[in-house]
Amino acid sequence: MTWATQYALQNLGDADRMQATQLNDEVLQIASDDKPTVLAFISPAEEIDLQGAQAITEINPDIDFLCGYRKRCLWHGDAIEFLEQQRVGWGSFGTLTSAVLDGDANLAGHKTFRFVYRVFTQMGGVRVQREYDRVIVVTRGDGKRIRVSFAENYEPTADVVRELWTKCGPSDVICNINPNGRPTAGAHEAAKRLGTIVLNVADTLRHIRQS
Amino acid sequence: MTRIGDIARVIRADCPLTARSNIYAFGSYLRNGFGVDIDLLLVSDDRFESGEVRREIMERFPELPIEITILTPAEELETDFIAEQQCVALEMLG
Repeated sequence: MTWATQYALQNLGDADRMQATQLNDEVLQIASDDKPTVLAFISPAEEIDLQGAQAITEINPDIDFLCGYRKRCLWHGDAIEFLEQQRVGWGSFGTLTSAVLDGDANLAGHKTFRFVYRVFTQMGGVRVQREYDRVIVVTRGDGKRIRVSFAENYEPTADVVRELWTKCGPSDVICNINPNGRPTAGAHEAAKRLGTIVLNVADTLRHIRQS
Repeated sequence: MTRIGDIARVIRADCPLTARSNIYAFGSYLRNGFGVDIDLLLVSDDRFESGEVRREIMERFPELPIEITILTPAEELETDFIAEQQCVALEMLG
């Protein structure tokens, strides 16, 4: 059993209304009251790309959900697209537990980014391409492209800004998706040095329309 | 699950770059002895050194769900993170 499966099993064991059984080193069967039983692959990976997602579903064709156990696990856009086409849910451990209780594990997506991604895809007159779970490229009708990275932290810091930049590449906007978020002065300063800007969701939408 | 005190001991013994940093534990793992992830706070004014320290800790514990938050001293003052999250210095653990 991998360390991630072990942690998932122990944390599920402590959760109300869920019973988890280990099927193999990386797959858990999770039952919850009146909801469908879920087969979840628990990945310890730092990143999940298309090849990784394909390999996992090829070896484990019956899974309902692919869980990137590490909170900072980075999901590539093409891996997300593939999993959604396969009707395999994807996301963090928190997403998995919510999806089990909601009974929609096959359709669930990372709950940290689900809402904000929907907000951007519902903008009129733009095309949205997902490069990572936390990075989108918005193309306006006039052809202008704006790359947006999502910072989910309550208080995004200089380190959060730099790490997003290093891991996911340059962005035009670092969008603080926490509705109560308060980026630190250091975060704004770090963004300025990198040639980007930290905005909340509403201001990011305005920036896309007006820049 | 690995005890937070054991993690603190290993960091002190095997992660020499951390000697000049202020590192704290916080979150459910500290409070309850278990949790989904293990939250550490690193307060450092040197962005390059803090990145190296994070790498050193992560490499020392490849099979633990460690999450490291890095703040500058100014950001710690601004957010009052240590008090708000009831952080405990690693020297006090283990």
